[in-house]
Amino acid sequence: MEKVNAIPSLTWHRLRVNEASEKGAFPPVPRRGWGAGDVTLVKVPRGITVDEDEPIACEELESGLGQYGDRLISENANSRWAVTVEKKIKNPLIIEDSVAAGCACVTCGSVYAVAGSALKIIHIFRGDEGVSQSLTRIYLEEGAQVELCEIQLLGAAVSRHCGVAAFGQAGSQFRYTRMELGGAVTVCGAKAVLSARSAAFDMACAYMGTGDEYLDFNDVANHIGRETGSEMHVFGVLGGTADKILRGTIDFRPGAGRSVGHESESVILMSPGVRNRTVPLILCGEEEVEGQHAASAGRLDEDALYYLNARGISPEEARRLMIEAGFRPVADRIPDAKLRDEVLEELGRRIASL
Amino acid sequence: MAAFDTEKTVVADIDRTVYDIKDKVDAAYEVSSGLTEEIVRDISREKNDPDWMRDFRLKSLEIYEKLPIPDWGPSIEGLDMKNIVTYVRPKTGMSATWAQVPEDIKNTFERLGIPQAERSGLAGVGAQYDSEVVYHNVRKEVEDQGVVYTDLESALKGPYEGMIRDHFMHLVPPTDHKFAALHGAVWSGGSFVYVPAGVSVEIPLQSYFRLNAPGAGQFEHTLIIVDKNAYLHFIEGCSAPKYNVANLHAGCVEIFVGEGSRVRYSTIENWSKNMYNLNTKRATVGKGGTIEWVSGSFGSHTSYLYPMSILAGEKSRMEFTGITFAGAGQELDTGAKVLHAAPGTSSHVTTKSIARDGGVSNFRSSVVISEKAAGSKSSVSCESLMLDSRSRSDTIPAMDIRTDKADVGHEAKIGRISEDAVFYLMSRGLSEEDAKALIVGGFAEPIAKELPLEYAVEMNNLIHLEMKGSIG
Repeated sequence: MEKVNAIPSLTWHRLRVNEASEKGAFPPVPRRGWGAGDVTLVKVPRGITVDEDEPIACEELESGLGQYGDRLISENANSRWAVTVEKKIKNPLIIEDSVAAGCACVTCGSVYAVAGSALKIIHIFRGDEGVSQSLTRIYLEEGAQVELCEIQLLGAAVSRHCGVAAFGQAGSQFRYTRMELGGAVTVCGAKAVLSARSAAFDMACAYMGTGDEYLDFNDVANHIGRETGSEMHVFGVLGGTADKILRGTIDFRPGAGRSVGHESESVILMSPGVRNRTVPLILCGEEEVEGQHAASAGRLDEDALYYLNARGISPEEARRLMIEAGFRPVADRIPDAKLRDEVLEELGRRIASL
Repeated sequence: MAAFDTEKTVVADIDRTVYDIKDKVDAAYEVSSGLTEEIVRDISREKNDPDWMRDFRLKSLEIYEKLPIPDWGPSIEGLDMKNIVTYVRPKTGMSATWAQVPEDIKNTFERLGIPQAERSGLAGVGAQYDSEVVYHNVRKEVEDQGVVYTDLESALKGPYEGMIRDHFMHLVPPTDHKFAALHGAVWSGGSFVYVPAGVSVEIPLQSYFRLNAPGAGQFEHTLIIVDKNAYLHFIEGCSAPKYNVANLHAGCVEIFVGEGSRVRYSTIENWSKNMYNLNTKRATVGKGGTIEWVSGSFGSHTSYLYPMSILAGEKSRMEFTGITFAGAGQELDTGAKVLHAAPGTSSHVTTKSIARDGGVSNFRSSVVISEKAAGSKSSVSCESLMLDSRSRSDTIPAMDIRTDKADVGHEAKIGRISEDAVFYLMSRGLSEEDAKALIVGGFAEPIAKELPLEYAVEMNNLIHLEMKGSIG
């Protein structure tokens, strides 16, 4: 089996964290193919044109899913979008993928951001059944700023694979927000290559796993240029018998002097049947860097719950408040107020079902 | 953005002169290099193994041949088993007095300070030279408490054979990994310790392993069984002179910690830089028991070393405190593993590593909290100091939590000496050079203070941190 979400530096095989398990394998394409899901350009801001011609610079970029996953999505894509950004665009580009039973949205997107330009993209994933796969590749020239916000509101019978690849030149900024609220299988991998001085990667991710869902993440920041920066912060909630693996890698390559990378994960465990695996890597081939990671996992803070109860808040409400507090900083990054409210409402429903 | 210090800090390499003195190789018997069934049978015959042990060796060899070389750690391409001599017996038997040990071997251990340490503060000492134990002694008052401390092979042929058969390679089965299987096939030497229930061995026991022969392997087995409500501190030291051919150390340590007991296992590993150190250490801990690992890794060309603790009894505990210092030509992959397999267990891992002069220091860990381990807690903290950009330091921890009733924390930091700390100390009147010396010394201090005094001194000698600030 080809590997998906493979970790950049292997560890003991018996831990079964070196790559996604069989549960995270790409679903086979039916002989007659999938029916195509709906991909809608909900909002296209003034100043950009969306077409299907992928810029050459994006073609070779590899996501955290790895070459195999990228190739499958690229070969099976039934929808493509490409944007070249030449100036600062204020309003976000909003794309929505909707799947249904027997259907798949296999979407390949690419963004070429020329020097000094800026663009925000919101990519929403909806549907109760089917297959959702996306690969988004982003090339940032000097000083370009791209913000990608992926919101996954899929139902409990959807298989999802999501790859994000970014390559940043000097002074570029890639801001990535990922909210994963559903899906039977969720396999996501983001990789940012910070190729030149002061390129930055800022990632915030929140996820919820319930039932017997499988969640598998592989996020990588490759620091190549000097004074590059990465921030990768993840919050998650696991209930039922959900099974999750998070791999987060900060890779300081020789020459990446004065670079800084921080990563963290905080997981709330809501049920005795959950399985939570975390592999936070720092790979360091450069002396003059600062790298840090932190991970914590456990139940909701009982002191805080007690405090809220003492203030007259019911246990259910207190629980909702505390979980929502973890999601809130990620939700606040959604650059569209209406969508943000919808996400918080959906989040509230899903917390109640935990 | 962090503040970065542009001054360079120079940390000297470890002074190995005393460890590098070679004795003339004058073996009484050695097997041919390589690994075959015939060689394994030769070793078994030479050691006069009971039949079950011979069969165990042969079965282990079969397993060895089937298992792959690990693909996840440092390269061991330079290790060719065809060139390794797996058994070298020195020209002496085992003695209980240093006077009976041949002069050259005794001088080697004198230089290493072993007899002096025994006189000044050890309850017993075992000394292994190449493949065999040449000295073993335990204080009478400790022996009178019912403590057994002897070489493993004597124990295997005496009244403890049953106990050994019930425990030998049960914690680390030959199927565990390729080099555990190799150990099972060719093991030789090592110590057996039994501490009866309720006995506290107030002063430590020590085993010291010296490998003198070039191209040889050392495969000692240490088996420690501590009964209920007892205490033991066991110290392991090792060294070898440097040769220009690969040497191999694939020892194995198995520790059984009884209910309510506490065992501390301290190691100063100082193999030469042609050594492949593929060692396996494992403890299982009963209800309310504690295992404490204190580990200093300084030597070897390549190391794979991750003491593992199985917290099998309710409210059992594990602590691991380790330091790794990797210099030129070294790739030291060290860390710890813990399996929480019972309710209310706790583990605490603290490590420091220093990489300099092109050395590679990796921290690798695994914390598994099983479904049965409700109410367990674990914390892992690792800090790495990079002293130049030719070196490398990777941090590869993994956590696997299978219950909601657990609290697990992990933190890791990597970087160079903090400019803020240097500035603060200088504002208190220290020179920049002294400030940096103090910071690097302080970095290793949490580990040094866990060692008995004489070993803390040895560690400081080993690190021999010489700070030379280049100011302005």
